[in-house]
Amino acid sequence: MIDKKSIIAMSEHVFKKGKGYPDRRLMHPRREWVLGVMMFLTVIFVGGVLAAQAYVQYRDIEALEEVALQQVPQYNDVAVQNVLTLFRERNTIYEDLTYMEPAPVTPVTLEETVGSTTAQDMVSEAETDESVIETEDVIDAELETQEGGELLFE
Amino acid sequence: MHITKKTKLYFIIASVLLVLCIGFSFFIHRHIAHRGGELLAYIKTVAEYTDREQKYSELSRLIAATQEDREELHTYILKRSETIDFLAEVEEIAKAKQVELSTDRLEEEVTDTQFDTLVVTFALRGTDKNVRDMIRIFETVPYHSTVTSIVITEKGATQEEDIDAVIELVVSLNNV
Repeated sequence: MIDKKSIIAMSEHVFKKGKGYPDRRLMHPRREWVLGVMMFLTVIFVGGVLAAQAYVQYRDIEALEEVALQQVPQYNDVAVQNVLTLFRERNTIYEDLTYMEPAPVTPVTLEETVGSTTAQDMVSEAETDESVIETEDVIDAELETQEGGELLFE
Repeated sequence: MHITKKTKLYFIIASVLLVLCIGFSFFIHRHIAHRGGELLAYIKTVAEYTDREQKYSELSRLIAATQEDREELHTYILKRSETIDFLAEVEEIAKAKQVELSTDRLEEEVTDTQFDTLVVTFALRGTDKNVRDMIRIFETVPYHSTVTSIVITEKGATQEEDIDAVIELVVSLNNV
């Protein structure tokens, strides 16, 4: 009688010698389970990587600010002041060199125009009312004295 | 081995769920990327606007602070409309300095820059001192200008003799 141990030993011998029988089963629960778990992990991993990438990308809004800021031309104040100093000096020299002496003013001599009264006398007379009144009185008196003899003005 | 209907059903359901999950993941990812792009565009717009505001404010302050200097600088560039006045002024000065002056060449060179140039060649005749004074005047003209050449011809040995000089003056002209 062949006992159980003998059967197992024979089967092991046969499998070892024949290098195993071809497995004709379509489904291997353990293999399918491992495959399923592997696919699940792969999907989770890929999804996680993508989610992490998106998270890192949009985590910090300030880091996204890669704006090409407009360049404003710099005002070179030192150069401007140097140029202004240079041109002010040039201007001063130019004005010194081109300065023209003003023509000498010739004093105007006013001549006598009416009788013995000069222009200066007229001006000095006009300065004071009294003198003007006196002059007019003198002229009136002269006219009155000459009215009897000659008619001066017609 | 026999595959039961139940197994097939589980397989199909699992496959469909897997495809749905993958599809949903990609959809979400694309959606996030799309909205992220929009967010980036908004951020750039806001940043540009803020930057422009800041630059505008800075430039306004700079313009106000430097107005006097710039106006003064402007006076040192000969304006096109003042060319004739400038030449007349030079002739007046020469006359006052007792120097015979004639304008041999008057040419305007157009450039692509803000400034064109006016090239003037003057011929001078007078005593050595007066001509040298005129040359000094040309050198110190209060405009952005350069004396590019001077040719002096001395006739006699004494300083009282008249000398001839030809001077080329290049003056910048303001196009604005």
